[in-house]
Amino acid sequence: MELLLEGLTGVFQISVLFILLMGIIAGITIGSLPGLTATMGVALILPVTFGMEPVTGILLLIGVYFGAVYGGSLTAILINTPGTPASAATAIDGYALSKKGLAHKALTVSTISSSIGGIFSVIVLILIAPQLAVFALKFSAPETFALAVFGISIISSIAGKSMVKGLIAGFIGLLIATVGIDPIGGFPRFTFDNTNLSSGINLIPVMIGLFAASEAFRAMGNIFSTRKLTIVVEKVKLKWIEFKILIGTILRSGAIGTFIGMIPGAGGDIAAFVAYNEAKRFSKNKEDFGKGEMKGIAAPEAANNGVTGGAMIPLLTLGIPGDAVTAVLLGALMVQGIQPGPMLFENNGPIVYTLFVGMLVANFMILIVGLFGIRLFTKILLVPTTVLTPIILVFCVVGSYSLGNNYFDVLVMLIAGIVGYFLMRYGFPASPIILGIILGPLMESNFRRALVMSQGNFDIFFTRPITVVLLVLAVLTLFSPLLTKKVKKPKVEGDV
Amino acid sequence: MKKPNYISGLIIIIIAGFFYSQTFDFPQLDSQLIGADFMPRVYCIMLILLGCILLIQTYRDKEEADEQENTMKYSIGAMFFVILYVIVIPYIGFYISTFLLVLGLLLFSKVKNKILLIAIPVGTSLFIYVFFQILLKVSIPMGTLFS
Repeated sequence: MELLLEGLTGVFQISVLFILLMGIIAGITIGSLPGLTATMGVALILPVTFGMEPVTGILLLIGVYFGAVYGGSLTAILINTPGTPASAATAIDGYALSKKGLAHKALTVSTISSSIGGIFSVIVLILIAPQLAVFALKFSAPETFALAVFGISIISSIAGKSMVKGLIAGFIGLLIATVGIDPIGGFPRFTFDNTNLSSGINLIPVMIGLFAASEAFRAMGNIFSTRKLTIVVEKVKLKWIEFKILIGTILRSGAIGTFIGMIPGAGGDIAAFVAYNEAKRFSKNKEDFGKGEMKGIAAPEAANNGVTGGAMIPLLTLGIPGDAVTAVLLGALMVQGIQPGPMLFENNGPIVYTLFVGMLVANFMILIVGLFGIRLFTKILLVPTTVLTPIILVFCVVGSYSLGNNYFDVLVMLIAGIVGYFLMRYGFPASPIILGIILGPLMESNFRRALVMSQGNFDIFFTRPITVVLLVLAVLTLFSPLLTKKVKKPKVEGDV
Repeated sequence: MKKPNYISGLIIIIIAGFFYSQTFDFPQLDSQLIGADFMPRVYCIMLILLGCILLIQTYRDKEEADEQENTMKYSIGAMFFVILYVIVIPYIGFYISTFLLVLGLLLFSKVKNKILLIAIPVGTSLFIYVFFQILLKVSIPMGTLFS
């Protein structure tokens, strides 16, 4: 409780609130631009945060993250193009309502559901995370190794179409992570006598390249397929009675989203579709779904914002990012000298609780900004890609340069961007690479430390209960896509 | 997607093989059972195996998968613009090169609106100046030609 109060004082300062608000607005803007994802937004804004206080910087990124997830629904509802994959389910009924001229109502439902789903998930985060962290404190080298293996095993769920290609991407990431000084012996590896390489390849420029530059290159290939848009948002208000019917759906979907968010590898898109299907299953008028049923907007929106708080649980307590956005956030925390994991709650308690309070405030801000700014944000959709792409590319270069005024980082970003473009084009996903770079050193150093503990005996990995459970979980996770493929049925084709 | 799969599979095997060969140059302590070379070797072997699986999968996959509709021409063009940009920044400085890059990319994507052609490049440079140089105090390179 004391820590929560400390968090409150940490957040309720004019400058922090202002930066959080800026983050939300930037996030909504980025999320509502088709082709710009939450991950790209966070990666682009990341360099800006280095000069800030750790908490302020992270809250800015959280604002961008939450705002972008919410903003993705704007385009889904208005032009049937989900701004982020997580809002693909929203497009089904959202666009149907827009076609009936009820876009304003649809956006209001989406705003309210998003913020309630988000608030719900942050409350769960505040309740669960400290307990999990206390449990994880017992972890020693073998457990941490198993945890890292588990974290890496989620590659299979984020691999996309081809599991082999996802795994290749993951191992490329792991191999990149070995460049530099080896974590135990201190020997240089793959440095080719280059001093820049001896400290390893910096994660941030790789992320900016893979998630922002490569997307910008891809957008250049699509510039002549952009269509003309005309958006009219009539002001038809949501009535209190209509909202009352939705409350059950919103809370249930928020819970679904939070729970799915906690599982590494299962992101907002899965949560949104599961919540949508559940809402349909619970509904008396199943045939209304797909024709503009408001529950069909409330469910996926509450769920995909619920994921945000849920995904922070494994990130903060175990240091395991569940998807690309949380991987970027993990990178940001590490740059600020905050190492997520069980020790975080011991060492940086006040910071953690300030983040918690900040996340609650962020969701309230979404509600306010969303309700008052809807009509303004619809104007963003009119910005053409041709204008955006050059600006994004300049930002990629300046951003990676400003990390440490080092030109080498710019080269790393550029190579990552170009390689990333070709990888994406030929079906290799980018997120496993990042996951490999982040978790590789954690896995290797603890693997070797564990073997030093056991004097070279591999039994240490099979005789400790938590280690065994985590390794079994890792194997199950690796093969889970074969099972979950049936759950995820994206029906909407969109530029996501 | 057959041809790209073959090519990417081969590239991965070659790169992994090269990195594998490099691991023999790592300095070693005799006392260590699992040394600095162990994990990189595991990763390389896995990459070679996965590369082979990709080749075999592609070979056995009969259907010719869908071709992508968007052309690569403009994407690769943009890459050349950015490569050139990164090369010239140290010489002519950040602001002039940014102006030229943004203007170049806009022309490249056939933007004809004259106001946009001036406003976007100037605006971008100005924004970077205010935000990065003044607010974040990043030392933006001014270029050897002007210093």
